[in-house]
Parts: sequence; structure tokens; C-alpha cells
Amino acid sequence: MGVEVQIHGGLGSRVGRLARLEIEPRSTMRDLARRLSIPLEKVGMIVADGRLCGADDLVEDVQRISFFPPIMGG
Amino acid sequence: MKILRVDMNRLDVRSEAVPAVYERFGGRALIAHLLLDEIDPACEPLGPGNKLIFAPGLLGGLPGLSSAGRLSVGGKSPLTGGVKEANAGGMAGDKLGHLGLKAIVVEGKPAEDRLFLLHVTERGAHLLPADDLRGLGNYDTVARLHERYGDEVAIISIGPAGERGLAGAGIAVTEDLTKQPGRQAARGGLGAVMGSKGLKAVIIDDSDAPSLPLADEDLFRRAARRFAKELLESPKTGRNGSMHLYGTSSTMLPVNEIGALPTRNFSTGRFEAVEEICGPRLRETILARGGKIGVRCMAGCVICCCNVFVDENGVPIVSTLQYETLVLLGSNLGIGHLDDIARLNYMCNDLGLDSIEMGAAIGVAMEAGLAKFGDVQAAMGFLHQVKEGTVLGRLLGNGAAVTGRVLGVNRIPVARGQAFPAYDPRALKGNGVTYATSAMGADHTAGNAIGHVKMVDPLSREGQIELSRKLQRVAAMLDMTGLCLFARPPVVDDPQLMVDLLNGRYGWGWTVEDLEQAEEDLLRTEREFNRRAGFTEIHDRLPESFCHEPLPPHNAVFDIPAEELAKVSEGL
Repeated sequence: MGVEVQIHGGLGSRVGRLARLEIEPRSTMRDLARRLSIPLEKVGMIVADGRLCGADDLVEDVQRISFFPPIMGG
Repeated sequence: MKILRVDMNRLDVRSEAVPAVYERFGGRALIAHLLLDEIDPACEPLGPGNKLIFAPGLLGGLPGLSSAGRLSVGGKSPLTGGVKEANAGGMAGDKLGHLGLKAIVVEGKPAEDRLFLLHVTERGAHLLPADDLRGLGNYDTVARLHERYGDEVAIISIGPAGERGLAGAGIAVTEDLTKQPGRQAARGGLGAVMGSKGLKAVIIDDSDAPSLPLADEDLFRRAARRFAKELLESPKTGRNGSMHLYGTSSTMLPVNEIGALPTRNFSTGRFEAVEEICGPRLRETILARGGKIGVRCMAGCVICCCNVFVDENGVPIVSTLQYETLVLLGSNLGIGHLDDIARLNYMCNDLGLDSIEMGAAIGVAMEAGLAKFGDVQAAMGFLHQVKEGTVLGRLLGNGAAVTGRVLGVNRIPVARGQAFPAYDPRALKGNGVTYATSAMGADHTAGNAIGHVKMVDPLSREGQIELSRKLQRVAAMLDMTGLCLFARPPVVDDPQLMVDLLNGRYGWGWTVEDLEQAEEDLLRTEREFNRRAGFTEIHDRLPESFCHEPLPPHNAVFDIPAEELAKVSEGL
């Protein structure tokens, strides 16, 4: 199963890059973050196909996942 | 501390001691009480009965305290018909505070159609003729006043929009580093109130003012140091935080991703060209051209979230290009180029127009077929019409609600007559609750839910009332103290820190409960003003089109029932 992942802000060295990754069945967002060396405590928002999700949500039937740092608004 | 009374009818200025009843009010709280006590809430906003109030927060004017120099400006709004407070960063708030001024209250109206300057120094304040500045934009006005008074003064000014009494007019404040009129107390048409008073500009010179006294210097210094340290260590506001790296534009990609980005007059929540105007693109463009990132607007601010956007030759276009403007003058108009948005932003700043209100008004005009979405020349042409004072220009300059009604548009993004900021309330429902229920009308700074989507699903009806209510109280706390919205994490995480700052400054012996009571008192006072001005619970709604028309990509509608919205003001 493949998924596109984008990392934003100061969440790591792969910032802004859109990568296509193969994911093991039953993987969670936490697993994905660990694999990409994204510190979850610094993540403000995980969005999967436009919907917010939690670290323990499964990466299933998802095309695109974005990890954002905390934001404060305009 | 003193209050300056500026009588524009008799053209005199007098200083008075702060009445005891107002001693513990600052910024937005002082404005709310002065308006409720001193003006008829049913008065004509541009008539002699309204008052225009400039008030620094309780913590304004204190060196060594980061991010606390916001200037609140208030009066009855010609846009909403209710109480209004708009605040801005820049130099003015700190300088007024440093001069020991709790407020400048501008009253009455000149008998003749003349313009004046108010010059405020430690030695006193005077009104001076300013007819030579009539019709000048904010940038030329400030340049002339800098020539006359030097670069170190703070200048508050209006452009032609304010002089003409347009309800979309804001008030400009000069920035600390650029000295340009790049900060705006933009919302609610307070620039028109300033124009109605015949006041073109206020010049503030605090060069001879002594330091403000501290009731408990040790307590204050410890609290101020901890505050700055926590800001610098915060993942949001520190040197590696999104606010410092990208400024408010860091908000754009997440809001687009969750489908709440106003696009083509709020017809969809995602913009196909978002990558061209988002935070990383803005940063990359500015740095590549030799512009500036990480600029402060207030002396001593450690967050430094502003920028100087320059053209391809490195010549500054505007400072600072922010999220709300990037959206309302960008995606909301179908415009996906930073240079175009920056030039529209400059035009709004120069004319003295709220870029949110104008972006919404032009979006409505495009929806009506006056131009195609994405047509930059048409958008600039609309702003030229405001400058020229044509009928269409006056229509647009009076905001999105008037524009939409006259042009027969169904989807008009306003609450209480004021344009929605850059979050569609159908896909960020907490903000919809704030737009509907805040006494300010649609105003993200009155309680912005975007930082809380991890805790409360923005598409769900659940939890939005409680969230908005909590956020409106936080906004009240910030606006009464003069603290920047972006400096809130340390004092929201630990309100005792705010209490320590206030007790260190004033020696009041406040507790967290006292602070919470002050927040509620502010919201209650504003609500009472609006009640007396004729507002009831039926005004706590969003336009019906936002309750019925689905917003792509989630096809969300604003579905918080009216009886739920009414709960926000329970107890106020």
C-alpha cells in the first residue's frame, strides 16, 4: 500500500518534501512518524486526505498525509 | 496615569487623572467601559456623539517585556453598528504607555471641514492644522510627518478612505524597525470614525518620558524573564517555530489541507494555487530577493513574526505580508501570485483600508460578475476606484455586506456586517461560533479555533461552543493587557504568569480568579453596549447561505443551532 507524505515547518530535515512511501498493513500515523524521524511531540496537526487524525489512527485507504507543526493563526 | 480628552468641537486638549473606577481597566476593557459610560449606544457612528479611543494595554510601555505594546482603538463601529475594538502592533501602544497615558479620548466633531494632527509629548498635547495632508495616503503622510518630527516618533494615521468616512477604513500605526505604516487597527471602520473627527494623524513622542514605576520590581522582572524564555523555547514562537520562520503565513497550508481556506468568495475551501502563496513560498521568495524575515513590529518583541516583502529588484513593496491578507486578497479572489497580492496589500495600506474587508468586498463583486476571479488588474482597478471616490469605489469601500446587498449576491461572508476573516466557518466551526457570537462581529482575533483542531474536530458540532467561549475569554485577557495574540502560549498555559506581571507592575494583589473576572467583565460590558444599541440573540447568527450551501471538499455547512449559539453569552 502506498501513501504520499508531506512534512511541513520545522519538523525535520525532509521539510516540504512530498514522498511516496510503501506502508505495512495496520500501520499507524505514529509508525509513519517514527519511520520518518518526525518527533510526534512537535507535531501540531496530522491531516489525512483533508481530515484531521490522531497518532494512533491507522494509515488505511489514505492517499496523502501531511504533518504540520503547531500553528497559531493569522 | 492620565487620560487625554481631545475635544474636536472646541479644538482643545485637556489631561485628567484616571478615575478610580477605571484604574484596573486597560486596552479593550477600558474602551468598553468608556463607551458604555459615555456615549449613547444608539448614536450615529460618524456623528459628534461617538468617541474614538486609543488605549494601550495594562502592560504597555514597559521595557524588558516582550510583545505587550499593542494599541487598542475603539468606538462605535460604522460597519457593525456595535461596540468595536481593533488593535495593532507597532510603536504607538508602548509609547502611549510610556507617557503614562491610559487613553486618548477623541470627542465631538470640528465645526468646519478641516483636518488636524494631535501631537503628544511628555510636556503636553496639542492640536495642529493638517489640511496640507488632506487626501494623502498613509505612506506619504508618514513620510511628511517623519520629516517634521523625526523617525523615532510613533505615528497613527488614516488615508483617504478614512477621510471619506468609508466603513472599510482602518487606522495605520508605524512599525518599530521599518517605521512604515504597516500595522493596522483595521477592522470595523474605525478609520472612518477618526476621519469624522477631522483627525488625520496622531504623533507620539515619548523621548523625555521617565520609566514607568513598578510596584514589585523583582516580581515583575522575574515574570518578564520567564515569559520571554518560554516564548523563545516554544515550538510555535521560538527561533525554530513556525511563527518566526514563516510568520502568520504558516497557517495557510494547514487551513487549505483541512478545507477551510476561503477561495473565490468562500465558494470552496481549497485553493489550487496554494503552493504559490503559502508560508514556505513566501519565505523562499523574500530571502532569495534580499527582503527580510523575522522582523519585529514592536520594540523588544522576541517572536519577530513580520517580514519585508520586496520585488525582484529588492525594492520593498509592503511590510508585512500576512496570512489574512494573503487569503482575502489572494485565494479569495483567485489570485495566486505573491507580487500581485503584495501590491494589492500596499494599495489597501496606503488608502487606509482593511485588507480583509476589501478582499471580501472585491470577492463579492467578482461573484456578481463585475470581474473574473483571478483578474489582478480588475482588483487593482477596484481599489483605484476607491481612491478616486467613484460610486463603485464608495460601494466597495463600505464593505462586503453593502456591496453584496447592492449587487444582489447571495453568499455574502459577513457577521454583524463585518467580513469573515481567512477561515471558512463551515469547515472550522469554532470560528463560526466566534464570528456569530462575539460583540466584535466576524473577527478571528476575538477567538480563533485554528490552534485547537487537535482537541476539537473543526468539522464537528461537538465542543465548539465551549471552545469559542474559552477562546473569547483568552482574547479578552490579551486585549486588555496589550499582549500580542501570538504571545499567548505562556500565559494561557499558566495564567498565574499574567497575574504576576500585573501584580509586579501595579501591586494589586490579584489572583487568577480576579483575572478571570476581569475577562468576563469585559465581554459582559461589550455585550451590554450592543444590547443597548439594539442587538439581540437573533443577531448571533451567520448568514443563512453558510448554513445551507455545502463547502467543498467536505461539503460542510455551518450547522450549530441558534439555541446552542445562545449559550455562548449565558452568564454575561
